[in-house]
Amino acid sequence: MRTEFQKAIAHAEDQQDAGARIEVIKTAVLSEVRAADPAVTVRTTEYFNHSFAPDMVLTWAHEQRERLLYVRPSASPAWLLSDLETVSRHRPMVFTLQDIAEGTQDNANSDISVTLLDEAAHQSDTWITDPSGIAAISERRAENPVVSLLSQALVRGGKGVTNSREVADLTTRTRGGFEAALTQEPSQTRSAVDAIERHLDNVQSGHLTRLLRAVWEGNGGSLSNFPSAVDVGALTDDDLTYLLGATGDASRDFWRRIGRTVTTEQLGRVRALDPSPSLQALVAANLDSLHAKGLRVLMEPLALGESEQVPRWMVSRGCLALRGLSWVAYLAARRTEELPQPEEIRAPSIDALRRRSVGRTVSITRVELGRGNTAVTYESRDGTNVLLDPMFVKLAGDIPDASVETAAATLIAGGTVNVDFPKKSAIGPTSSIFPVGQLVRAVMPLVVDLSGDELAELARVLAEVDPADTLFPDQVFN
Amino acid sequence: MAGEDNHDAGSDGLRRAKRWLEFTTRVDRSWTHQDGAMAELLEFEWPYLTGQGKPFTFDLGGRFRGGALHEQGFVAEVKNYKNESDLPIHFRTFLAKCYIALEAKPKRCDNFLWISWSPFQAQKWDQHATAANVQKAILHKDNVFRSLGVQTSAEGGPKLNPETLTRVADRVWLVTLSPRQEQLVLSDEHYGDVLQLITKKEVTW
Repeated sequence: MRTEFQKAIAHAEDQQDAGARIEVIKTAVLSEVRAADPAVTVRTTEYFNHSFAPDMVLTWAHEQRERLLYVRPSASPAWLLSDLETVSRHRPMVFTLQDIAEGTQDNANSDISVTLLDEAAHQSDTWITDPSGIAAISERRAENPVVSLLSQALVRGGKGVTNSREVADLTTRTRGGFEAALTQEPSQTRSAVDAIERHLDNVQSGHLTRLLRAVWEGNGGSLSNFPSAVDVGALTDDDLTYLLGATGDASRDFWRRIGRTVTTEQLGRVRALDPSPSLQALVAANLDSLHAKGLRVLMEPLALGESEQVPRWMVSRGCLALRGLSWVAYLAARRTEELPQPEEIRAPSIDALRRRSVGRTVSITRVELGRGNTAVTYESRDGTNVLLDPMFVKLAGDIPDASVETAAATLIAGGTVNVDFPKKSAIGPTSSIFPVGQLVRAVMPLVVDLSGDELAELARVLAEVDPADTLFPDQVFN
Repeated sequence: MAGEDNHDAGSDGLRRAKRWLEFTTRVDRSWTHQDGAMAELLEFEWPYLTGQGKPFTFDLGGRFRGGALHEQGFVAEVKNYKNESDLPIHFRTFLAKCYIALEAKPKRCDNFLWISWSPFQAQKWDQHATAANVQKAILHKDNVFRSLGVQTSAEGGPKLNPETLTRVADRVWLVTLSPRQEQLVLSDEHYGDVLQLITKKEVTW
């Protein structure tokens, strides 16, 4: 039992007015629930310890459901079992103010034990826990992102009677399973799956089992060898949404393992709060494994009240996007049609493009210069950077008022994107796709005038772990 | 069954009484003498047994909602008896407890509910909750000393507060339930509607 809760209950018992006492108790319970699941929104009712009316209603952003919470001052198994007849139809959470004693019976004549209550709660997807149980899980949340997810999953879809001993066993097995999945060790992974399925309803156990499997698969494990009898399917958009909303402080390794099974297309469908630290971590750890067909930049100043943390990853208009101070770069996972409609703006001059490309890890192998109704294309046949070609420099000098309509840019790691400057877009030809990090790193400086500070910030956001994969190196393609 | 012949019968009656009250939709908060952090709100002391014995306790307490009773509190004694048995004795003690409780903590005593599954002394049913009967209960030899600190009813009479006697009588409810009556509560269909109303309304402190 958390000290804060003990103190709160003692404070409640000092209140001689029933209403004041109930208020202190409900506030204390609310704190316990929030400690276990910080993402929960709680609506308090005027009811207390009522046969059918809940004390609180728990909801979550992006989830079209609620979980009723019933506070019970007594931990008597007989009373709780009797309550289940009415409340279990709602698959609620029941929080007892007293700890549920192991193997207790109400009295010598009663055969109602915690075991019977546990079975009844399991069958009805009702989660019954006590102050020590919820403290055991909330206090371990910070230790590990998996325990953090488990903690939230219990509040959202726990079932059975979970006291502190049960929590300790569940967290140990779940943590062990996620570690075992890294090396595809089946026994401990199976133990975690069993524990998860035993303590969580189908929705929540599905989330965690799919995440566990994503780690298994992400580390080279065969899907067919994953030790679960239940086919839980692939990591869903909801799983990912859930993961992003519920995991605040996971390591880069964690996100990298998860990211192996995530696609850019899928990220465009998740419902991520903005700003989302988890989304930043997930994308940052997977800049090399997330792929995109292309990107389009729209000039969009920060909205009133919008976070000024830029550049940052966000999900907008159905796309994974990078938010800058005055622009947003939308990524198309597979098709150009995924992108928002372009803004037609004036194309840059040759000098402007040359300035933008200085020091970039990209080679401009073709440019189309336009002036009025005429256009001329200049292309390198050997992949050299035409902007450095003396002939092109001379040609450009002859038509100083020409603008660069399109260009072909070759990325340092290979592959070419077609850049459409008036549309601030860069799309890979045919079926080409590119690692998100490389694409954004190469294209952004070409299509937008970025200040030195912005370039530095962009470099920070696009930094990858591999030291060989240096960002914006000094060398220039030629 | 002679009275509540075991603990389970008492506990079962208490659960059923609480449930029935709440299913009338006219009680929004309740607690029992087994409810840890709330139980103390049901405890009182016989004034002249202070420190000499256990405080007495009612079985159930709570708050009404709606209508003229809105936000009024109650305490209740629940007797899971199928017949009269020794109910008259318990009722006499109940009346004495009500008097003491009202004198000590009037804010907790807007209503005194006597809930049983059997009537008793039906010929005098209309006289059970009268000031005269409350007076008799206090002055009974079982209660007179622990209530008033005197040995006889003659000594105790002048010590009684007539206003409190009347107020107790006015606040006593005689509720006699039957198992079938317990079923006459919200239907499943209406239960769902009521629950929806309850959970939509947010309370802020």
